[in-house]
Amino acid sequence: MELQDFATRELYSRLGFNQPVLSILDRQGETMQLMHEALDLTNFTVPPTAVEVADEQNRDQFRIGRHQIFSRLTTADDLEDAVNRIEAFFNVALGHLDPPHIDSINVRSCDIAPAESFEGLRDRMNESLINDFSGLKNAMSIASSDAGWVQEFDEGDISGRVQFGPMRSEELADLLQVPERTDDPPNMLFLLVNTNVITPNLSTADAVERWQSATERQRGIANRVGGWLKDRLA
Amino acid sequence: MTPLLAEKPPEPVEKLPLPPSHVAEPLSDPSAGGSRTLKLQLGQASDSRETDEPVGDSADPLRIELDREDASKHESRLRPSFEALANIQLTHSAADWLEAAAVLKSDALRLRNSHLARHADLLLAIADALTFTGPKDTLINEQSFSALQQGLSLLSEPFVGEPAEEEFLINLLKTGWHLAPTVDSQALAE
Repeated sequence: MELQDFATRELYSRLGFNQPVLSILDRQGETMQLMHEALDLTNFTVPPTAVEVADEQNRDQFRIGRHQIFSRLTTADDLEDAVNRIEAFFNVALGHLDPPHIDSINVRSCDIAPAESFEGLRDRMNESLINDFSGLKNAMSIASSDAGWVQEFDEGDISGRVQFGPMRSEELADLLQVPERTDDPPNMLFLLVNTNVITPNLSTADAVERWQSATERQRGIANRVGGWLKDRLA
Repeated sequence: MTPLLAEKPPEPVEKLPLPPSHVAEPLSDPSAGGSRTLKLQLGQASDSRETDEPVGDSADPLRIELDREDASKHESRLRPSFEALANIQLTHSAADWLEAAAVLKSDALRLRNSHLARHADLLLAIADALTFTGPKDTLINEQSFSALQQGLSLLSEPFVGEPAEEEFLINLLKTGWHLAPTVDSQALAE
């Protein structure tokens, strides 16, 4: 059962504010104009307390809100592109809003590794990652159909969640809430790594730099977990 | 969640939820993505092509029929390569082959870190074939283009396995394509 290398399919980043930025309520038109100029996107949504813009199929999203700014990219060809776009957006958004302080930085990635078959991958994961899977199967007395794993971690100011399992392309589209891509592999190993860093009273001036280091740390985790998974399944 | 995570080996859970509530709402038409494959067909040349030189014993053994409507729906990031390859059968000049190879290499570089890395490998192989084999090469014939066609079919698939890639590379070599610069042994001997 062939399992290819991981590649990033979605990158999400969020900066949370320690206090609501009320000025967004009065400046939505100006914010729209700014986002249009910075991102060259026109598909705007304007809820009462935020401005959000996306591409036509909602695959890439950028939001400036009262409590947070975030970006979610699913179309970048590689991670560097995605990181550069998010950084540019954060610089523009923070300069525009000037929030008092940043109190949390959330970075999440969804990586996928194309696999030859869903069933083959599922069976290999069950056998490799669960002690005595046959005992579990006997206890269920029903054939295995699907599997997934979730682990959560929390230590001081950083917490993380990792989710992985075999996945089909239509399930990935459901999970990411985007239309299925015709070039997504039909079957894959899915790996989601979500990290959240608490940053009490981080100044706006330092926010992008801290976000960069949080992203590097998150990518390091994703790479190590991906490597561990591939080793276990080799 | 917490009791499940308390101890010992990881627990399987039901399909993985995406937690944050600020992620976009689902779209009404998630299937709007177009078909999975492009229509690729081996046939005779179009009369409108510019021919510098006939290839093999037929005028032009390669025709890649790209269904334009399908191609426009097909969101594949390989589309520039498909279009470049569709053009080489129209002109058959070495310059056009090199130009197509450049497009393929550009796509390959763009995609090498994506989940289409295997497709990027195929693109590089085809680009090398077009770079190091000229349209006037006497070894190039209908079978050579059949092998190329096989590569295009693979590229239109969302998953390409290692055995299929190997078979394709072997076929390219067997049917006269050069994947590296050739050495003029006579010139070397002199």
